[in-house]
Parts: sequence; structure tokens; C-alpha cells
Amino acid sequence: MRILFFGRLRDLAGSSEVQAPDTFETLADLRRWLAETHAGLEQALAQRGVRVAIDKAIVGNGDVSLRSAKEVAFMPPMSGG
Amino acid sequence: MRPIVRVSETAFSAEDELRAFMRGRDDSGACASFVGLVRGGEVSALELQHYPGFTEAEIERIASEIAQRHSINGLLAIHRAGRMTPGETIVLVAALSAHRAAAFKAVEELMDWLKTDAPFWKREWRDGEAAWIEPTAEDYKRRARHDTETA
Repeated sequence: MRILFFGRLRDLAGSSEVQAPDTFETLADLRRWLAETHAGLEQALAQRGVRVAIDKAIVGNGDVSLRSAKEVAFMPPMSGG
Repeated sequence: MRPIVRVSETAFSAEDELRAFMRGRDDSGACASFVGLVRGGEVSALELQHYPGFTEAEIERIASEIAQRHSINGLLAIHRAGRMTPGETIVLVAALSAHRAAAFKAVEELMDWLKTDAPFWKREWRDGEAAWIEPTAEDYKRRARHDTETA
């Protein structure tokens, strides 16, 4: 699946997009994998105000299923235009 | 009425877009518009990131709500993304309605939302240093005022 980063998170990730294995069951699994593969991202992703969208739909704070998810976006607080 | 929403990675002409938007609209007696420019001074450049597909859908969702609330006949929102320098057009919002009050209100409400809550991530360059920008307390207060007015 595609993992997308925006704003500050993009700088920390070092790219706008990474490809993750399709095997993760939940968002928590993906977060663990990102923490292992991208040092420095773990804290930033857990910060208040960072929102997550799965296939372009915002999801809540709880652990969410990633089954059949194609795209996960991590979004820091939106600045407006 | 479905709002017209576009996020453009390249420069656009607000004049041309507005002319096309108003053409043949004899259903409306008023067209109010707002054009936002990149302000110079301390900021030498700015960059807006958007999430293609998501950003447009969010703008359209809010624009539809506003259009319905004010009986708007046509609503247009074009927003720049990418890197911009002072003087460039960053946003155009325009509304068509039977009378002017509704069109003015719709433009102001959509602009307020675009400025504070639209899914953009903004970076500004000052003295060669880049910094990510988040909404100001004033932006949030302004928005809360509208929420109260429309509640």
C-alpha cells in the first residue's frame, strides 16, 4: 500500500510517499513498521493534531483495520491556504 | 448546484476564470468575488502542499454546504498549490446569487474556511529560512464567530 506524508511529516520521512507491505492488519501494525523503518517519524506521527486518512477518508484515533486499504495518509495540522 | 472546485499547481488568471464563470448567468443579479494574492514583505516565497483528490473533495463538501445555506446559484473556488512568490494569485472565490447579500456572505464564509481549515500544508520562506505554518488563534476565533452566526 502507498503511505503518504504531508507538511513537516514529509520532511521527516525524507519523501512524500513510501511503499509499505500489504500484510498489515491494523493501523497500529503500520505505525510500528514506520517507526522501525523511519527513525524520527514515530514521535511525529503520534503527535496531537496528526490525522490519518485511509483511502482518502479520515479515520478516528482508535486502532483501525487496514484490510483492503490501498492508501494511508498521515497529515499534520492543516494550515489552510 | 454543484460548486466548481479546482486546485492548480500552475498559475491561473482570476480575470479569465471569473469571466467564464459569469458568462450567460442571467439567473443571478449578483456576483461577488475575492482574489487572494501572495503578500510580499518578509516572506520571499511560499509553498502549499495539497492531497490531490482529498483536498478538492473537502473544499467541494464545504462549498456545497455554504451554497445551500445562502441559496447560491453558482460557487467557484480555484486554489493554487506548489511554490509561489509575492504578487501571484493564490485563490479565487466567486458566488452568484439573486441578490448581493447572499453572494457576499458565501464568499466570506468559504474564504474563512479556506484560510484556516482547508487541507493544505503551508511553508514560508523568510530570510532564506523555511518554516511550516499552522493556523493562528485569530483564524480559529474568526471561524468560531461564523459557526455561532450560522448555528
